[in-house]
Amino acid sequence: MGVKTAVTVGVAGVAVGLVARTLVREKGDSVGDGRHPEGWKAVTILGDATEFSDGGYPAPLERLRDVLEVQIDPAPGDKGFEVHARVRDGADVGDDPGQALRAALRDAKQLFETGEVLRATPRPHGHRSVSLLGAVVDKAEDEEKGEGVL
Amino acid sequence: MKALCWTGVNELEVENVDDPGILNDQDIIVRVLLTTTCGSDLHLLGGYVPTMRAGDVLGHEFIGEVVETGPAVTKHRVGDRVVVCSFISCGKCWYCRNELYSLCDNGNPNAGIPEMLWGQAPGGCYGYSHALGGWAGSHAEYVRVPYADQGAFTVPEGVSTERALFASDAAPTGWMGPDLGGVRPGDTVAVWGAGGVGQMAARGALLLGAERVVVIDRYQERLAQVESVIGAETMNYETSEVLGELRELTGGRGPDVCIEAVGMEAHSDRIDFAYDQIKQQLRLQTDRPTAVREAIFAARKGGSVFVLGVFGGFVDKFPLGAVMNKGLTLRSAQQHGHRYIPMLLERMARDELVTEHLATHTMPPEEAPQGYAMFKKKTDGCVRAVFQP
Repeated sequence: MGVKTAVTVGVAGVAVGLVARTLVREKGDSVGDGRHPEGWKAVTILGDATEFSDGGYPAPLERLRDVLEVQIDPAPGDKGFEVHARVRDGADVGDDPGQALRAALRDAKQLFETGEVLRATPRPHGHRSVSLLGAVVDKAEDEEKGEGVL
Repeated sequence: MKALCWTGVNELEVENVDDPGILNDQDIIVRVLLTTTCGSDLHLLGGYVPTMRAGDVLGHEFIGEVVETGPAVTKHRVGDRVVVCSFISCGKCWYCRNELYSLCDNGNPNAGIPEMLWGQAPGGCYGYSHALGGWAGSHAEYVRVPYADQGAFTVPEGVSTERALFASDAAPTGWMGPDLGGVRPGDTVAVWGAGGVGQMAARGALLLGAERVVVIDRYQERLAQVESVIGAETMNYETSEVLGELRELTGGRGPDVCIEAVGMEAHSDRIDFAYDQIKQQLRLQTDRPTAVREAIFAARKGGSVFVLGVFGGFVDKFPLGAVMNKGLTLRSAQQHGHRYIPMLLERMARDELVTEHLATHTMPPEEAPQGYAMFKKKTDGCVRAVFQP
């Protein structure tokens, strides 16, 4: 019963995830998710834009500075400023430039806003049994900073 | 240390796991004094949230004592008794600055996962799947608390540990329903669900000036608590015609504010419950919106519906026509606890808000799997099983 249910739930969960992913990606075709026609990705950051770029960007973004095109604009209202970035044509940023850019933007924003990049691991956990669903979750978590619709 | 781990669908085990450590300067480590089950844990336990991993430590509603502080922590010292908000929020991003703490941009290190599911990521939550950060939960001897100056709150001396425990989640979640649902003095409010969150929502509505509050459930012992402790009216949906009776007691209008505190595994004696149950079991819909549907039909024209119950994916037969044509305001959120907890602790100190009756069963962590079984099946009048390490 337990194994059967787990497999059913696992398969169903993966199916739901794939459907959701498809829906999000279809929507993303026109607005982002690395499929922006010109490759731009953006985060909105609360704070003073001049401080963000004063003496260089926060380290996670500064590390990629030479391979990125970065544009900083004020955000509307009280929302701070927007950091738009894309990988320059032909730049070498590993196998998945989109992943590297997403991770850099997320970490730069977090470091600037909170003063630290939050570490999630190591964390206490019990026995990690081997399973298909478990492998899917592990993979999703390993890649999370570089994934998503950012 | 010992911790309660999710090991598979409807399977829990107490395991030996590593102690948590300070990983960021704003962290504290808390020795858990009390940690409670929550109805939303049952969705994780039952496999309705597909981003659980065998070995994950459950639990998100807890109170404890500070035993270690990171170098950037200014608010807390070793020995402080603190209640910790179940959501992990930085306090610095635009969402936190606008008191929408559960939407924090920085508290969820796995933001990429929920972005794929929902388009944007909420903040993180202890013991609540890898979609909400994969944070280790509170059903353990020790918990790491990131952004501790934001998310941990010193408990006033006059408030017992048993009462303050529920300031972690049930009380702020419940309060958020009538607050953001827009309850005004003189309103009639209906609350679906007489569990911990539903009871707190009802109490919150009364304290915000509602003239009549009716709580709907099928468990008589919970409804008895609502009447005797919370001070609200009750309706047992197994012996009442909910929509008709709500309409009658509001002079045909319907409640001004309807609060759903049930979530994705709702029950009902109506035919649409069978429909929802079959579709959910076949995974043709992920969640059962049975109580939300009823709340939408019950609400008065121009009224509001606040969804406090947890939902994860997609629902079927959602009455958008009723929402639109009745001019309803539909709102929802995971709890923005940081904005309410200090105020709730003050109300607890003044005995305006009591919660300890929710802890119907307190037990050592070794008995936690049995506690969850009792909580899930609602046996022996269980409202909340609470674990005391």
